[in-house]
Amino acid sequence: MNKVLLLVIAAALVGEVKADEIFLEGVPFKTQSPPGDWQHNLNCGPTSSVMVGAYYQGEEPNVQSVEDVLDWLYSQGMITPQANGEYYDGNVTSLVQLEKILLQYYGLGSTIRQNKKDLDFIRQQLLKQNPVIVGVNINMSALQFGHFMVVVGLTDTQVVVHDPGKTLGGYKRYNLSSFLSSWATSNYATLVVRSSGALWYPDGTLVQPVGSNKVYVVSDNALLWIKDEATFISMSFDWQKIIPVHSRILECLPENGVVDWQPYREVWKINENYFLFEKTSAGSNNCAVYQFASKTAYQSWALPQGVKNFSAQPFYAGSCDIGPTLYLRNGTLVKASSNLSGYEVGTIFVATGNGELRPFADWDTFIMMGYENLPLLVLPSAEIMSATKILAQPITAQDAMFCLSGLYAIQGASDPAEVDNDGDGFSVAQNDCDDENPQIYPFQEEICDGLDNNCNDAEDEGLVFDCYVDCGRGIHYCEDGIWNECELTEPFIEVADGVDNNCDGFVDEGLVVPDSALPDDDLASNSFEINCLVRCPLFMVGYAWWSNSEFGTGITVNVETTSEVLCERGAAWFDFNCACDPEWSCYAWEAALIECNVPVNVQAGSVDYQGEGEVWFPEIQCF
Amino acid sequence: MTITHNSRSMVLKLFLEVTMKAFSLVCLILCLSGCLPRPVFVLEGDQDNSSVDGSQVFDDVIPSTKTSSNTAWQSVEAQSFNFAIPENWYLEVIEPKEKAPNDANFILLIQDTPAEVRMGALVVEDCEDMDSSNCQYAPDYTAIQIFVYEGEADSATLSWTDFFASYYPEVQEFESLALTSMEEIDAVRVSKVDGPWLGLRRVFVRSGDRFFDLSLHSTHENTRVVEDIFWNFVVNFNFGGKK
Repeated sequence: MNKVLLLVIAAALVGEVKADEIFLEGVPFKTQSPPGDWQHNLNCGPTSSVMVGAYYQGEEPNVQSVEDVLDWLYSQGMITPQANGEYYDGNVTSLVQLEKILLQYYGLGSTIRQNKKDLDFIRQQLLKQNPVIVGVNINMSALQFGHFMVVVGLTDTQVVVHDPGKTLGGYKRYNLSSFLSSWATSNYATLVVRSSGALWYPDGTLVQPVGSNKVYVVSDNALLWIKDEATFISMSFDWQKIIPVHSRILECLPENGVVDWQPYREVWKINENYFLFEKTSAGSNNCAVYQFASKTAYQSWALPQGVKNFSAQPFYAGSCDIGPTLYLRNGTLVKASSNLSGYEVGTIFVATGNGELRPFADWDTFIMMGYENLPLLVLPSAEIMSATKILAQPITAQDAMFCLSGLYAIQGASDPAEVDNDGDGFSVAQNDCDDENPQIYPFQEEICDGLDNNCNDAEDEGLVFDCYVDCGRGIHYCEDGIWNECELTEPFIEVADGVDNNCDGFVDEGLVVPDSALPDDDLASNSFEINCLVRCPLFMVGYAWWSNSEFGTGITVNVETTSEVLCERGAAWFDFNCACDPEWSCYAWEAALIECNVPVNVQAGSVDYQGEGEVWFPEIQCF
Repeated sequence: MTITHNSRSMVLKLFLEVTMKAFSLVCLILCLSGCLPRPVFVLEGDQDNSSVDGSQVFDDVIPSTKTSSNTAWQSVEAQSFNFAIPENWYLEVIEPKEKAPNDANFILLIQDTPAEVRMGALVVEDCEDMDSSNCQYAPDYTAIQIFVYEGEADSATLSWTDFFASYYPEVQEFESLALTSMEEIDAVRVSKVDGPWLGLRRVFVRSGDRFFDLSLHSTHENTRVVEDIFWNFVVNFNFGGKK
């Protein structure tokens, strides 16, 4: 479901989720591998950018998305493929490069990139429904390798991220203190697209969907496209007042027309009253005259035309229509410099509906709607009231997230399935399979408890590890919520050593066992004429064969024998080797260190097999 | 020779210029006594890249090509460990400011450059042009990084499975390895992961109540020599610490 819903708003409706818990849904997750494989994979930065880019473009990212971004980075010379990795394993990236992906590759307008320990900034961006790319470490462990993740939620104690470093990395939760420690290692690297996620704005607001070059003005719960820059200027709109918004607003406020006319305007002052004379164009005869409610109202329009002082209405306006009184210009933000009766000091209002002044219900709503960077008029209460017809209802978060139509229409809080009862960020409607248990929700990590923790209709799935026991290789898995003991699946091969290697209850079954291989106190006490040690390096297994029936294997092979035995094969020698593993997937006799109590010559195999080594005893004569 | 310092904790300084003569003598003695690295051994033949379920198996254990080690080594001491590093390399000990439950106790970082190296996927400061004189990171480097975990309450009985579950949850499968030089030590290599797995070569070693994560990182295309150095380093590392 491609619906984006800020759950804190739903929480406000139903009162189920604490106000300081924020979860951002609708941000698509993509793991950083594939493309490439996990080894040497450094795609977390590009993949984080892909997730964010796809979010604003309403796309589902896939392997090709990441490959395309990597190709672009390569073509731009920003990074080069790793010398020792796969082509699509990527390479180290910086926040600047990720910013270029967002701006130049995805064309997302504007970004905020900073290195600042500001958790409240992240919280504000989540309120504005903006996922935040952060520089952290693998597993959010401050000592581990550097890593990028995308923050999509925040609570008092946890940060919720899309971790591209995991196949199921969506909505991973990490301890907040771990996040802060890890974030610090990147000097708090933070990157976010400048956007606001509100779905409704009051009349007069200028909005520009992220990724679009179109600027709209909100009018009567619809969007009017301002056709071009000349029109924008002639209508005396203010560039500083454009709010970048998520493109889904187009699903909620329909595009209802085009502002494509450039009016001719004059401003008159007649007996301390201000008027706007307006024609549809300079050569048009269609005209109208509007009176401003006050000087403050006039000033709020920021008209560039000079004021013409008249004692009476000029003759050329005689046939014009008389327009309505003009109050504070729609979209104007004002704050009273003194107490405005009935409102807290510092309350910010926005003018709308030509005469209405609506306060913001709270600071979070103001931030969420993206007004914090817009110009603000600070005026005495009397001046505000002189330019206002009525003080209307506050604008709440619910208003801002109310979609008038289309896909993103906010779901009614009256539907119990849409209420997140356990505060884990998911409701039944959002596939929470146990909405009474905050530890169970989609994308949760599956743990061995007999429960379906991640709501994928499977319990304890995928919880299998390799393990080893004395007799071979096995698996260690979760069953009915309990980890089993290591279960033998691949027993070792039985070798002639007097030991039950494969734990089948039989010793050296199917093999001819030389006496020397058997544990024998008598034999052990013998003093051998020949003593050699075959030592293989770390991780290798040594083998030595010193007669037609005797051989040894192990970490270090002790060749304890006699010249008589050594001569069984016609000459005094034995062969040896070092293998990577019992399967002999690789081997190298040169790796062995040979130590003997008599003079020997060590050489490449000549008698038996060239891939082996041979130890020859020049002072032993065989008869 | 200088030692890098990242404002973290203890930095071990090796003033080789001052002590070169004395050090050479020590090296000579150590060489004669067999304390410096043995030559690295090499293998030939195919490596095992199979997997029980077709998943990726890493080839991070055995050197795959024949090399010879001409590296000169120097003995150093850090924390409670005596070990050898290549001459003219740099050693840094990194300790967490505030150790989180799953953090290593400390990291030994050995590298062939005095400049800071960028391991991991993220460059902290913008350093787009690596040739820029403003860039503080080494464009080319070889480094050996050792994470040391010790002193956990249950580490003496901690299984490899539980160790990975706690410290490296991305590890899904591992395989044991035989360490011929120290029989009391067991080692594993990771064969399947669900997460970025960095390092040209990487091996985990357990000794007593300590766990070690040793990895090799290099930007060089030809890695034969550095792999040779890495395995020499591992073979000769005193995992038991100072006795």
